[in-house]
Amino acid sequence: MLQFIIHRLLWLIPVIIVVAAVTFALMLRAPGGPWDLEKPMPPSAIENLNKQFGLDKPVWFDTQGFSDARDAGVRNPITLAGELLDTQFFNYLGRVFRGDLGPTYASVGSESVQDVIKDKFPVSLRIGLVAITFAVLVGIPLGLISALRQNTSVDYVCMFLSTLGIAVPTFVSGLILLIFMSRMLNISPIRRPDEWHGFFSTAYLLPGMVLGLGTTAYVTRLTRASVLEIKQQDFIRTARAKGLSRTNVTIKHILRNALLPVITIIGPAAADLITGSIIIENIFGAPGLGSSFVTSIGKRDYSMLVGVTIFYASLIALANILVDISYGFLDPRIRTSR
Amino acid sequence: MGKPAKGRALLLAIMSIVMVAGGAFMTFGQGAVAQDAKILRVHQVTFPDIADPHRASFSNEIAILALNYEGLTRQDSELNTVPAAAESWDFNEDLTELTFHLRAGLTYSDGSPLTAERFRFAVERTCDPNTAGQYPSILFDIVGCAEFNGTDPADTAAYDAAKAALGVSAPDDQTLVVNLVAPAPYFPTVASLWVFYPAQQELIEQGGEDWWKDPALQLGNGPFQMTSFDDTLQVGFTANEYYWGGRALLDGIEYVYQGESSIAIEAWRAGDLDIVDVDAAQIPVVTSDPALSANVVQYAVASTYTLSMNLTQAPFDDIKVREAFSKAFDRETYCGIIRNGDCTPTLSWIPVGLPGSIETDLFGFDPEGAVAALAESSYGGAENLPPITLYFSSNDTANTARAEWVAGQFRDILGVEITLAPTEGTALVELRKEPSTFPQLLLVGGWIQDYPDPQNWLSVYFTCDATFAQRFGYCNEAFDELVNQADQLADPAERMPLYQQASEILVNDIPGPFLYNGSQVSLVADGVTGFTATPLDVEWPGQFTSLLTIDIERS
Repeated sequence: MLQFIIHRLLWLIPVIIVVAAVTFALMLRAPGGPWDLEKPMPPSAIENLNKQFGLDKPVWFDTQGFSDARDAGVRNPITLAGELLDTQFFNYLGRVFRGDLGPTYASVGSESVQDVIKDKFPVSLRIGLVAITFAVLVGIPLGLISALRQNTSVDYVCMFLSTLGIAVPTFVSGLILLIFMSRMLNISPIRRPDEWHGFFSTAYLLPGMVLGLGTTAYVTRLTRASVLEIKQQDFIRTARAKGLSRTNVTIKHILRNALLPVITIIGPAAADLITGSIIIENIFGAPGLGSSFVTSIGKRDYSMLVGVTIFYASLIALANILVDISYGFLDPRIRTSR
Repeated sequence: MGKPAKGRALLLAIMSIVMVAGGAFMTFGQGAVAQDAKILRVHQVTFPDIADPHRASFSNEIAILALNYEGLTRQDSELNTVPAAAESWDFNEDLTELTFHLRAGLTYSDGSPLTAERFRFAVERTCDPNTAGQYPSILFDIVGCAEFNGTDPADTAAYDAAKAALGVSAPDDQTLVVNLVAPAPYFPTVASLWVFYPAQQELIEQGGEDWWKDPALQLGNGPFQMTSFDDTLQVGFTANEYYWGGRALLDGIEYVYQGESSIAIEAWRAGDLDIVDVDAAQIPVVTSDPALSANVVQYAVASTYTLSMNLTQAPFDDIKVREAFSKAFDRETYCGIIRNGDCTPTLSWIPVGLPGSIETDLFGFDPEGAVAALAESSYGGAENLPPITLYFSSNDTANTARAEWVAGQFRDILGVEITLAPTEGTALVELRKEPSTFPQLLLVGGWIQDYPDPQNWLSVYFTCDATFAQRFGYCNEAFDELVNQADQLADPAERMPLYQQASEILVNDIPGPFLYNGSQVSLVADGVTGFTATPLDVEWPGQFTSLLTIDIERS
C-alpha cells in the first residue's frame, strides 16, 4: 500500500511539469500582457517591469544565450545548459519546485501567489467541504430511499428534486435564497469580514449548500441507479433467504456495494468543489480563490494563472489518489489485487 | 421491524433536506450587521489590486486613498482647485517653477507633524522606476521625472544621478518647490492627485512590498484614517481628529465590496448599506420599484465615450464617412433604452459643465443627413464601402446586445452591413496600441478624466504627439497650436477661450463620433445628508468634495 502511494505521489512531478507547460503555452497565445492597462504606462516603465519579473527573457529556450556562451568559449555542459534554460518557463518551473509560485503581476509584485492561495484557499476549501458533506448526507439517503421505493410517489419527489438541483444554476438558486432570507427572515445578505475567519463559521453553510446542490442531485441519481442494480443481484436474494433483517441487508449488503461508483465520482467532485466557484463567491461575497483565479485571466496575471492551475492540478491528482486508496477499504477484491 | 409506510419514507426524505437546510438558515442569521450610529456604509463593486498611492491608477483604488490622504490641493464642489495641505502656491514669472506653502501645524492622523519633505518623497517615489507604478506619466511635467522613470534601476550610477536631478525639493518644512519642464498653469490641480499623497517612507520600508494592506502603515492626513483592511471584503475608516479642516461629521466610513449589484440592492433594502452603486442592468429594477426610485441619485461623471475609428484606414479616413456614421447614431435611444439610461448623450468632447467645454448640435442624429453625407463621400454610397468590422469588449456580456443594436441602426439607416467582432478586454487593449491594428470601428473608446482641467482632456489625449491620438491617427496642427498656447497661460480668462476653440476644431474633425458622458447611478438611504455629487465622483456621490459635511441620521 505504501509503495502504491509513493508511486502515485511521484507521478505528480511529471503532471505538474506538463500542466505548467500547457498553461504557459496557452497563456502566451492570448494577446496582451500584464502591463496593458486602458491608460498606458510609459514604455520605459514597462521595460523595467519586464526586466524585474524576468519577462524580457525568451519563453522556452534561450538559444541566443546558449550560442553566445559557446562562442565565448564556454564548454562546461552545466553552464551551457544553464544558459539555454535561463528562460521564463524553466526559471518558473525551478521556482515552483522550490515552493515559490512567484509574485502576482496584478499587484506589481506586492503579493506572492502562494500568499494569495494561503489567504483565500481555506475559504474555498470550507465552502467546498460543506458542499460535499451536504451532497453526501442528503444525496445518498435520498437516492437509497427512492431506489427502495422505486416508482412510488417518494421516488418521484426525490427524482424531481434532483432534476431541479441539476437544472437550476447556482446563480439563480443562490440569489433566490439570499433574497428570500433577506425579505422573509430579515437576514442580511452581506457578511462581516470576521464571519469568514473561523473554521466553523455559519457563514459557510449557505454558499456551501448552494454550491453542493448540483453534486447532491448527481449523487442522488447515481446512488439510486446503483442501488437498483445491486438490489437485483443474487447475493441479495441469498442474504434475504438467510433471514437477515431488512436493515442489515440494506446497510451491509446493498448500500456498501452500491457506494463504489458514488465514491468514484465524489473524489473528483470534491476537488472540483473545493477549488472555488467565482459565481458562489461573488453572490455570497466570500473571499475565496475562485474569483481571484478567474479574474487573473483577464488581467494576464501570468504567475497567478499558472500557479493556481498547478495548485488545482495537484489537488485533483491528490483527490484521485485518495479515491483509489478508499476503494481498498470498500472492496476487498481491489485490496488483494494490488 | 415493520415495513415503513409510504408516507413515512417521504417524510424522512423531506426531513433530511429540511434539517440540513434549516440548520443553516437558523445559524446563518447570527451574522446580522451591527449598526453603529454614524458609520456610513458604502457599497463598492471591485476590490482593488493595489492601494498604494504611488502605484495606483484605478478609481476603486483612489476611492480608498482619497479618504485616507490629501494632496497639496483639492477641488471644491464647483471643481475649482482650492488649498488643501498647501495654504497657497505661487509660480515664478515664466510658470516653470511652482512653490507650495504648506499650512502651519499640519499633522498626520496620529498628531505627528507632516512636513514638505513627505510630499517631496511622494513625488520621488512615484517617478522612481523601482516603484513600478501604473501612472508615473502624470508627473512627467516635473523636471527629470520622465528621465528618472526611464532609467534602469540596475545601473546604480545612472539611477542615483537621475534621482538627484529630479526637479522637486523641500527647502524647509513648509515649502515645496516643483520645477516644471514647460509652463504648466494647471499643475496646482495635478498636485491634488493621489501621486502626491504623503505616505511615509519609513512605514513603507517597514512593511515591505505589501505595506499598503496594513492600516497602521497607511498613516494618512486625509479627513478619515484607514483602520481596517479586510482583503476582498471591507475597508474601514474613522474620522481623523487632527484634520486641518476640522473633524468630519461622520464617525467613520466602511467600504463593503460586493460584485453582484442585485445583492447589494437587497442589502440596501434591508438597511445594511447606505449608498449602493447600481449596475446598468439593475437600473430598470430600481427605477420601477416605488420603494427604491425616490432614493436614486443620478449624475453625470467626467468621462466621455466615442465611437472610436481608425483614421488611418479606409473608409474612416474619409471625414464624410465619419459624418455619416455620427449622424446615423441615435444617442438618445442608445442611452435611454439600450443602456437603460446610464449615460447622457453628447456631441462634444469635454463634458458640458467642466472647464473648457462647449455645447454644439453638429453631427447629431439625422438619418437623412447621414445618407446624404455618405453620398457626398469619396465612396458615393454604402454599396462602394469596404467591409466594416465593429469591435467591442466581450468582458461585459451586455455589450453584445448593444453592438447588435448599433450595427442594426447602421444597416437600416445607411444600408451598411457590419461584421461584429467581440473581443476580450485585454486583447482589445493590445489591438489599440498602434494604428496598424487599431480597430476599424470600436464601441467604445473614450476618456475618464484624471483632473478637472481642459489640458487633461485635450493636450493629453488629442495632440499630435499624444499616445492616444497617435494610436488611431488623429493629428491637427491648428488644434495643437491652440492647446499648446493655452497650456502655458496663467490667466483662466485667456486660457479657456483657446481650449474652447480647440474643442470646436475637434467637433468639426469628427475624430470618432462623440456619443455620451458616463453617468453614476446610486441608491442613497434616507438619512444620508450633506453631500453634493460632482463629476469627479465616479464611485459614490460626494466621495471627494463632501467628506466633512456628509452625515447620516438613522431612524
